[in-house]
Amino acid sequence: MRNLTTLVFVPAALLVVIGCDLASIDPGGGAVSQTTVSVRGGVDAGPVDDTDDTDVAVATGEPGSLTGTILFDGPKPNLAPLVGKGTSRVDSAVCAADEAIPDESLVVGDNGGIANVFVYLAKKPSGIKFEAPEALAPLDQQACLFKPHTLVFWSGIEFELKNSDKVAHNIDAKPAANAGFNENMPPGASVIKSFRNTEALPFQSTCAIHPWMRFWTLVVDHPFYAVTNAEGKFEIPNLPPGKHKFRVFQERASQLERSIEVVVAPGKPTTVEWKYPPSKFGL
Amino acid sequence: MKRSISIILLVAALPLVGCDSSRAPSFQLSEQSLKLSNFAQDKVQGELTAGFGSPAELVVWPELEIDFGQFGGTIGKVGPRPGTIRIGQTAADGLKPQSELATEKLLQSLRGAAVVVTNAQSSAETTSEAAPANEEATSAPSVYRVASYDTASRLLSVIDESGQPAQLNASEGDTVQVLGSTLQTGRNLYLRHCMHCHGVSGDGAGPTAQYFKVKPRDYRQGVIKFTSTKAAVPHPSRDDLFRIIKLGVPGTYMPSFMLLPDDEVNLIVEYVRWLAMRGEMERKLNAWLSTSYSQEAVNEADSLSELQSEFEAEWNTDSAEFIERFGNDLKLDWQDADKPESVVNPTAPRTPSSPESIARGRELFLSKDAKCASCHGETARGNGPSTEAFNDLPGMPPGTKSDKPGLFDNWGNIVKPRDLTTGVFRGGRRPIDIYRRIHSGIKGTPMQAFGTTLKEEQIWDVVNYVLSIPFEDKQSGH
Repeated sequence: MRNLTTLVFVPAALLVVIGCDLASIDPGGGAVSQTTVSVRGGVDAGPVDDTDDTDVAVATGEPGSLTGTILFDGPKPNLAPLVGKGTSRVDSAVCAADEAIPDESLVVGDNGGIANVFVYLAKKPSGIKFEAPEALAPLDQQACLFKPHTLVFWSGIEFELKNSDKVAHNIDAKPAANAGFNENMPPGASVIKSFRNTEALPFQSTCAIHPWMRFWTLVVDHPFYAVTNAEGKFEIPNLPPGKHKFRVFQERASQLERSIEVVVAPGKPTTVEWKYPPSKFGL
Repeated sequence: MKRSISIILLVAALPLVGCDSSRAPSFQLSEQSLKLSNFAQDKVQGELTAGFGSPAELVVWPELEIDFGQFGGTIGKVGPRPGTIRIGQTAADGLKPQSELATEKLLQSLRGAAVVVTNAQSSAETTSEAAPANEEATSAPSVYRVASYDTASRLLSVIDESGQPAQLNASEGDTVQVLGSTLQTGRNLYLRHCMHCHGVSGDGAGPTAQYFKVKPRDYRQGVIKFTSTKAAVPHPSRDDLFRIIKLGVPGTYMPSFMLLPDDEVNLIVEYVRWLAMRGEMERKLNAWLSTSYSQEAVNEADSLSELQSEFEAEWNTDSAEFIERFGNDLKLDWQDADKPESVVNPTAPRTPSSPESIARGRELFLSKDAKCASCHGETARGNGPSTEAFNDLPGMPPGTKSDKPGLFDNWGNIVKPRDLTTGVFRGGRRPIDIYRRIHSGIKGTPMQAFGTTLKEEQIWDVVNYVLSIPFEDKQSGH
């Protein structure tokens, strides 16, 4: 009885080994002949049809503009400073030496307006002519903070990263659609960079030496964007009249609006007011 | 007796379980892609399959900067049997294996490779000046597959999709090209030597990876840590990958593959580059689509069908342009990586190591300009103050702190700055290796590039200091 079991078991166990070897594609084994190669017909995008416009219904007429305020629907939050005055463990002679390092992840003005919010057309509108800027405002580093905290670059246009501090920083940029970089920035340094592609969302860049430091960058290929000021106000001028879809991004909340539709009137400002509860910001 | 029968049944069932065909290697979608809505996911999957295929069915995308492996020439004769072509005398002369083993290897790589036959007449038409009017009459090249190839007689046996001898649309003088042979061999070698750590998709999550503290590289960002390329060049060169495979990464689980012949390593390099490109393509598609068409967007949408039709419209108008742009990115960036000018080659020779040079290097190491010590520590043990900071978790909303202190790399792992006292350097211990680490940084990690801000002589001083550290007199109060 026992012998029989053993007799059966051993060859069967062997089968397991052999059988599996055949079934899994052993690259060196017989199964290789079943693999194939085919050829992609090349990327022939053909002419891109710029007249076909499913996203933005652009009417003819004098351009209008979008002005608005983004408001915090609650009492002004009181976020603790990231580094108290004189308490920095790194570069204490420069960082938080005169003033505490504020938590800039949510900046609310006295009027309840939220600063540093990106408002932009998620997609470049077709059939509209505009000129790309000749130069872009640089990013600077002062008192262990990135200045400004939020900024917009254009794809294909060079921009400057500077360090006016008396200590070294670094800029570790992690975009999604572009190649990232991580550059050392000693005092007085200036580095020129550019991005090839646009980004669907602003992305964060950090400094490893001073871990509280961060700034947010959007990369666009059209001028229809704005970043709210200290009172939460923004203006996007020269918008063709008609229906537009905007994206609204705040770093703590990520997308406040994935796609919000606004009809821009010709020849005059169209005003909006968007209000968001504290829960949107994890408060 | 009954018991033994049940044992027999049980044991007989085992092979079936073990040989589950679902274990055949397949490319997995990334975590990012899995967060897309189903309809967007389908398109991403479709695009990846069209551009790269699957492990068993590779796709040659000729625009990519990949040596897919090709040979060919003009057809000397069609026949004698159905589905056979004799390639002309001058062509395919490069394929003359010197041994039986080499012949077997060659045949293995050729089996299943794509055969592209371009009609001589139609290609003449397209090149002629008066082509536009005849454009529609031009027939597209026919694609078949290699069944076998006889190197002596240059007889190529060709099959169609169903595996039957192909009904050839070919005649004497037509051009025949065999594509994808070396990519197949690269795949085979990769699956044998690399897959168990780096995963079938190159995601660094092979079956063995879970047991490692230092994670195998996930190629899908196209980023490799230890390169000779400049900071502005996002990718490694072929030479970099070759060197890493040959020498391994000291101090990690990545072994040296010195015993593999150079030509096999080269084929693995090419396959790894191809996997990286596939991952990057997926990442770029995600960067474009994930904002508007994620699963989350579906949950928030008022109307699913409206969102879906919006997506279809955007895909139909824009996808060709985006995919062309992404494909172009891949091509340009990977081309860049292999240009001689992309390699960090100091023009100043290494400053001979001397107490003075080492002292200058040490001063820079501790200075406010370079701030090496903020991560590597004043005694270079890899324990600087930055390693004590609690950082935001990557990929989470800002302010979501990690519960462990430390610096993160681009793959979401906590990375330790190198302890420079051990004398083990992952990217190599030649002075030029350390020079390049400082010049370009370590890509994908907090180790930043100093090449644009430090002078060559300064970097050499730091190199001299770093190489002296393991022998530093610890009693001297350093």
